[in-house]
Amino acid sequence: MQNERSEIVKNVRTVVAEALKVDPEKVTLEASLIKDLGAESIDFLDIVFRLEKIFKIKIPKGELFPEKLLTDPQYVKDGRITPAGIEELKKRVSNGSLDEFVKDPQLANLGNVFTVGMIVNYLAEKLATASKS
Amino acid sequence: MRPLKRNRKTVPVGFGRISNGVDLVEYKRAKSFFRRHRSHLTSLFSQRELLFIQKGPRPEERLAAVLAAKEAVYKAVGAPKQTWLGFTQIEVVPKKSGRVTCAWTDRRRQLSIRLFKTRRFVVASCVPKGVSCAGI
Repeated sequence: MQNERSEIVKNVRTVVAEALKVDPEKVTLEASLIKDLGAESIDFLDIVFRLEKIFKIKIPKGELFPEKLLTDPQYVKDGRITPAGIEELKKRVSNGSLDEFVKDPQLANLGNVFTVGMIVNYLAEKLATASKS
Repeated sequence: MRPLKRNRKTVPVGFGRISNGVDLVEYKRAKSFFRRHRSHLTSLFSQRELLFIQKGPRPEERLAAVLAAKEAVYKAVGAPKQTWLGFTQIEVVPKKSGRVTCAWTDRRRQLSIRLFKTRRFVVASCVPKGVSCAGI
């Protein structure tokens, strides 16, 4: 299990470093894709497609980077994530960045919670579910 | 000297309010993306967008234009850096006339987008009133 996780971490770090053309040393689990590694919208697309290829999985829309939070009025009001939205976000993300975000849940800061660790957690769960079924 | 007056006129629409949104995409980046993920484009863009991207001699430049325009729209309407999913929620189609039309899938609205080309980048600016753009 531990081996599987370190394999996921290794591959995710490689994918992110190659997609963003950054030093692999900078790609830590805590690193924010936007704030620390300078990812832009085109890079999110690139990362998702590379992950699909390397892990041989399909990443459905909205699963890795939650879409619903950005468009559902239940989760977004006046440019801020509502308490219901934060609860939804907590189901997907668990890292220090989220704690920081919750203090001032402006939509514009949401990108900071998308970390390398979030991708690893997502893939670990996804691959575990796939192997069970 | 008189202080500059801030004039961020906003109007309610779509995700919230519209102000000015600007984005730029590097051609090199778009080119590498186009080469690597060409087969995925159909899941990201509408038929009209794909037609626009693929019909020119340099599709990567057109891809950069569409990506920048979309991102500018998102910034203008108050959304943060979007995920790839957002790309299917709006449609931007640069026209021969130089105008760019923009529509939400759920709410058709004309937005004003201007595209600028530099040697390395395409820059898109989205504002709440009608403007024409330099043709690409």
